This record gives sequence, structure tokens and C-alpha cells, in this order.
Amino acid sequence: MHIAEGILSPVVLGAGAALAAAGTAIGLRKLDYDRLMTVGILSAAFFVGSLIHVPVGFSSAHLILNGLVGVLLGWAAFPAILTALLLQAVLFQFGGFTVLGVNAFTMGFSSVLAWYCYRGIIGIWPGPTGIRAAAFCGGALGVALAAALTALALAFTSEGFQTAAQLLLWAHLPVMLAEGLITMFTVVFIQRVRPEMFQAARA
Amino acid sequence: MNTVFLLAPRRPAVMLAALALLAALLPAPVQAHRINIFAWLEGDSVMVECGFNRSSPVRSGLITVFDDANGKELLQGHTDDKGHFSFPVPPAARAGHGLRIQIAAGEGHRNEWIMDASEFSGADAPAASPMEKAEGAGSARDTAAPSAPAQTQAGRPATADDVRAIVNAALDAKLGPIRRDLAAQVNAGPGLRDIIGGIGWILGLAGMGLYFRGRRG
Repeated sequence: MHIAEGILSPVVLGAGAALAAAGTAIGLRKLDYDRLMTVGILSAAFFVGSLIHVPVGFSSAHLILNGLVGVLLGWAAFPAILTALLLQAVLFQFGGFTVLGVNAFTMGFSSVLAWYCYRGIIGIWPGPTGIRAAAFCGGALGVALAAALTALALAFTSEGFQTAAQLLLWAHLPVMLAEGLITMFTVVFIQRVRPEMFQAARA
Repeated sequence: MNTVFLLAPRRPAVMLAALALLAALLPAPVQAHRINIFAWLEGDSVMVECGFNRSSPVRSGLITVFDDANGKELLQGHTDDKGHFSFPVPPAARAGHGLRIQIAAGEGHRNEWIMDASEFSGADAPAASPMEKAEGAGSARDTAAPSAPAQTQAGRPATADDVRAIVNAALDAKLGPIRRDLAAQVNAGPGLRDIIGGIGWILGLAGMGLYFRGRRG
């Protein structure tokens, strides 16, 4: 879901950059520096995740992992995703420099929303099953929200919001399923092995 | 010697091993989610090939061709099932203008390929001074291959235009595989070096952050 260069109008690009900068500032403020290495590792996971493709009939959709990054990092997902997107733009030519802000905001903000959803479900449904459900929803919702936000950014182009949203959501249904499962297993695993990672995620 | 390795903390080693494993597993499913475009001249038409990667062509992607010199739109069309599109060399290109060929496949995918004006100098075009060219070609033929005078079917000596057409056809046939290789190279996804380099950058940035944080606190 990397928007390429030369598609969006300067207004959308500027708004995306401003929102991404604000999100990154909040993320850095809320970041617990003892967890910086965790942020780095998840940033690396996001960076590599877009190279793993999920076969979707006619189209090609790759893993995004923004739900996973959000669930594990909260607001700190913003700097992690910004860094990973910057390196993807430099090394893989995914996206581009001028659209970096828009891409970082669509991915980062959907991560943060996925984190709130995950926290909300855990709040009303405590226990191991609740955590599992929350993690699955967080992972799947991250992708769905990223698709919706990307469609919103494309709404001002000739493609229009509705077409873009439909295409993106259909293409990413398998990805949503895959990421929900990945997030669920990862969260369950980390909670068993290193539960302290979740205590630090409250901020 | 071995004590150095024994003294090293265990967790980074595990992490590095996990990353190495991840990187080793990756190349198989590596595919760029970038749209690729490659265009070349064949005879008097321009061939365009578009794909998300080598195995998945862009079907019915919108191709727009612009005049690179003044940005005017020249023509539009859609790619076929194999991601190919071809169009005759437009008059603007013959007039010494470059072409900017753009592919848009929706969902925010877009890329472009620039064909420089110099690429079209060999295209079949009415030569500026046919007499001079014919003379030059004739003398070259005389000196290079006097025993095999090129004759057209009509029995008259080949003109410069005939020779040019023959050479162009032969070159197109010979250069076909090279063009395909080049297209594959342009369309190849990110390599292992890029992936490992990126992971290294991210971990390095995190490490720098920790270092400066540690000095301050």
C-alpha cells in the first residue's frame, strides 16, 4: 500500500507530512527509551514484511505488519514505521520521498488505532482468550484501517475514494487474515516468553 | 581465542542468528510491490512491458505517452494480458523529442520510463540527405565487400534505406534476448544486500539512540 510519487496533489502531500510529523513527535515523547531496541526490531520487521507476498488471485498484496507493530508499540509505532518506510523508499524504491509523509501517516495512524482496539478488547474481555481475540482484531484491523486511510488519500485523485477503497479492501482480505493470525501468535508467544514487554507498552 | 566468544552476551547472538535465518529464508518470496516499466524501440514501433514483478504482468494498466520536451500528451492505451503495449513511433519523437511513457495501475501504483531523443535517431525515418547517405553506403560496400554486391529483388543495387532496414531487422533479432534480460533486471525486486543493509540501518539507528540516551542519563 505504498502510494507512488506524482499521484497526490501538494495539498494532500503537505497534510500527510504534517500529520506524520505530529504522530512521530507524540510517538517519540511517549517512547520509553528502555524499549528502544524493541522499537528497532519491530521497525526491522515492518521493513522486511513488505517483501513477503500473500497470493491474491489477480493482484499482489504484501504483508504490512502495521497492526503487529501497533499492538506491541502503541504510539511508538509512528517513529518505527517512519524509519522503515524511509529505508524502503531509499533501498527498494517503494513509495518515495515526497509521499513519505502520507504513507507514514496511513500506516502509523492505523497502527495506533489498532493498538487502541487491542487495549479496548482486553479491557472488556480479560483472560487468555480475550488477549488472543484482541491481538487478532488488532492485526486485522491495522490492515483494514491502512487500506481505508490509503483510499482516503487517493480520494482526491481521479480514482475516487469508493473505487480505491473497494479495490484495496478486497485485495487485502487475505492479508488481514494472515496478519491477524501472525499478530495473535506473536502476542501469545511474547506474553509467555517476555511478559515485561507488555507492561512497558502502557503510555 | 574462544573465550572472547564465550564472554559475549548471549542474547544478541540469538537475535543475529534469528535475523540471519530470516534473511536466508527471504529471497524465495521476494517480490517488489513496485510497478515496473521498460520500453524499447523495435523497428518503427515502441514496445512497452509492465509488471509488478517478472511473473505478474500489469493487465489493462493505463499507458500514457507524453512528449518529454513540452509535456504534451501524445497517446493513451491499455496493456494486454501479458503486460505489453506497443505503439508506432510518434512524429514528435522523429522530430527529435524524447518520450515519457507512464504506467498507472490504480491503488496508487505509478511509474514511468523516459526514452531519450537519441534512441529514435535509428528509427526508420526519411533521411535528411538521402543522396549523401547513399553515396557513403555505396563506397563503404565497395571497399568492405566487393565480392558480394548487395542486390535487391529488382536487380538494382541496394539503396541506403534498404541497407538500413536490413541492418535494423538483424539488430532487432540479435538484441531481443539482451532487451529481455535488461527488462528482467529492471524488474527484479530488491536484492539480499538491500534487505540486510536496511535491517542494519534500523538496528544501527536504535543503537545510536541508546548510546546518546545512555550518555545523557
